This record gives sequence, structure tokens and C-alpha cells, in this order.
Amino acid sequence: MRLELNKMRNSLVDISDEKLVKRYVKGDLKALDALVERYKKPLFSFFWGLTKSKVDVDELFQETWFRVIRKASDFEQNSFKGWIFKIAHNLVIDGYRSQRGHLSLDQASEYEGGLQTLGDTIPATGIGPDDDANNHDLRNAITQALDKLPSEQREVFVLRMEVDMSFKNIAEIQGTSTNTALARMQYALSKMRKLLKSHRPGPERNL
Amino acid sequence: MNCSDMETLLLLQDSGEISDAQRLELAQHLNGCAACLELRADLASLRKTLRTKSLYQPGPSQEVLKSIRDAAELQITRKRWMSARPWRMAVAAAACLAICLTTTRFLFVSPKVALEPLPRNSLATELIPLVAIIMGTETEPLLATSEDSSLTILANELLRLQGMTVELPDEKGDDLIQPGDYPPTTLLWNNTPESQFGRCG
Repeated sequence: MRLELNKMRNSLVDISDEKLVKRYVKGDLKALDALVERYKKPLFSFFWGLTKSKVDVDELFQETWFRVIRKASDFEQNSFKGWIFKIAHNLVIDGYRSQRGHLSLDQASEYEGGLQTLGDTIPATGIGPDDDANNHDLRNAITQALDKLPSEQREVFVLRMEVDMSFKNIAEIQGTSTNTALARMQYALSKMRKLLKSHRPGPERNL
Repeated sequence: MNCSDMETLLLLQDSGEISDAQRLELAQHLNGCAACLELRADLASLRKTLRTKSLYQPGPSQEVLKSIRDAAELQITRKRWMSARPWRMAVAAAACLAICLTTTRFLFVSPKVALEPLPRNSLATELIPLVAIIMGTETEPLLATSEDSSLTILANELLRLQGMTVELPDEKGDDLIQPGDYPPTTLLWNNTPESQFGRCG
């Protein structure tokens, strides 16, 4: 039974997202299973990077897929990835608007546009040489450093680094220009490098 | 171009959105810039870490995944039903209507059906007047022909014993008469507030 399941999953591995959506619309439930499996981690990480609450992440993740299911028959875009993350982005924004303060996107109001330098606003107690960094792996350090970024920069960073999305798609999701998305990534990267400096132990190892 | 511009090109190269000319320019700059080389190495290291170790490892719960699957299944079922051919919908509607009508026929005696000529001395002809009296319910006018029926005679006798007034149909106008004044061929059940019964020939 398990072997059969794996075989069916493997048969869908090479199929593009867009074709899987079409197959699901035609009634192939396994096509949707494959899509959920494919986007489970990046989508969850995207929400986690922006909300930091397991309950919120679960709800947002579920609602995103409910919307995908409902609107799958209307899907006519070129990129499923861009489409699903646009839905996810809108859900986070809606959640922020309806529950101000509940989701941690409250930072969005503090850093209008997300393009300001944060040198003066980031607390001095970030990840540094005196931190207990040895007890955390690099992933945890990255997560902590991400918390210190404004939401727009954090979103760009997660979409680019974790989801592997192009700046063009990121700009579409955020409703900005590619240059703005690039600038946000530059600020985010610069800040992350500063915050993760302590994780650069030797010249042979980066970060 | 300065290092800030090269940083932009590095990011574009990483996302695969760089042109050939920009790629060449970047390569030339990297040959002599240690800071940009370090940035490129950091970028690669970060990307590698995040791709191999997701920001949030556990992922969605099984309940959430199940609810998504259930919703997907329901949507497919709904869509199949909605996209069914029109004639299938028509057949289904007709079947529902037939079931409703059949059920109603047995639960309530419809006035129109009851007013149709009933077979002489049939069981229905015998029972309808009696059941009506025993139930004491009010319905639409009910007409049951049952000439020479002993049961109808019995029913009329029961009416007479109860002292009920009788209202005849159109040809008799609104005149009230007593049970037993007319031959026991038909029993009329009127749903006037006083619940009157009558026989007419």
C-alpha cells in the first residue's frame, strides 16, 4: 500500500504546478495532494516567518489552500507559485488589518515602506558574540535575526531565500516594483549579515 | 559601478534574472573586490542553510492536512454534480417530485383526488367517511359516493346522533338541513368553522 502511494507520488513529481492544478480541476485529487506536499514547507515557513504563532500559521495555511481549492477552476496564470503566495500574502495582510496586533505584522506600521535603514532601531541585544549562540544552530539564529526585520523586508527575504521566488514575482506579490523588492532584499541581507556575524567562526566558513 | 550596484547584480544573478551583459560586468568586478566576494559567499551560505533546513521544521498538523483534503474532495464532488448534464438534473427533479406526490397521496387525501368518482362499494368508499368522523379533523370538502353502503348509513347515523348540521353543495344554497333528510348516497365534509357534514343525492 505504502509502495503504491509512493509510486503514485513519484509519478507526479515531474509534472509542473500548473498542470497539477489542471488535473485537480478535472477531478484528480492526487494532483492536489502533490501540490500540498510540494508547497507544504515553503508556505508554512513563509507564514511562520511573518506571524510567529503556530495557531495563526495553521489557520493561514489552511485558508490559503481552501482558497486555492475554491478558485482552482479560475486559475489561468503562468505561475502557480506566484498565485499561491499572492493569496498567502493577502491573507496575512487581511489578518493584520482585521486583528491589529494579533499577528506580528504590527511592525509594518512602524516601518512604512520597509525601506528605512534599521541601524538605530535594532536593539543592541541581538545575536552577537556575547549571546548563547553556541547553543543554537544557524537556522535558529537566522529565525531570530529575521524577527528583527520589518515585515516587508522579512517577506522578501523569506520568499527569495526559502521559497526561491524571483524578484519579479515578489514585486507582483507585494504590489511594488522590482527595484523596490531588490532594495528591500539588500537591506534585509545587510542586516542579516550584521546580526549573524558571530556565526562566522573562521575564514574558511561563511556565516 | 560601485559595490552597491554589484550587490544588486549579485542578487539578480542568484535569482536568475540577470542579463548576459550584467553577468559579465559582475564577473569583472568580482575579480578585484574582496567585499563583494564575501557577500556572494554569505548569500550562498544563507540560501543553502535555508533550503536544507526550513525556517519552521514541523510543518502543518495532520488535522490541517486532512481538512484540506476533505475540502478538495468536497469541491470535486460538488463540481461533478453541478456539471452533470441537464437531462440528468431533470430526471432527478422529476423523481423527487414523483416521490413527494406519492407520499402526499397516502398522507393526505387531496380534495381533487377524493372528488373523483370512487369505485362502487370500494374499501375507500366505505372507510373515508368513517375515518373522517373518528379523526374529527377538518379538511377540504370530501365527496365519497357509496350508494347502498351500510357503512355510509352507519356514518350518517353517527352524524345524526352527534346532532351536527348539514350544509349542502351549490344547488341547495346556504340552507341548513339535518342529517338523514337525504338519501345516503354521498357524504359531504365541509371545512367550515363549524365543521358541518351533509349528505346529498
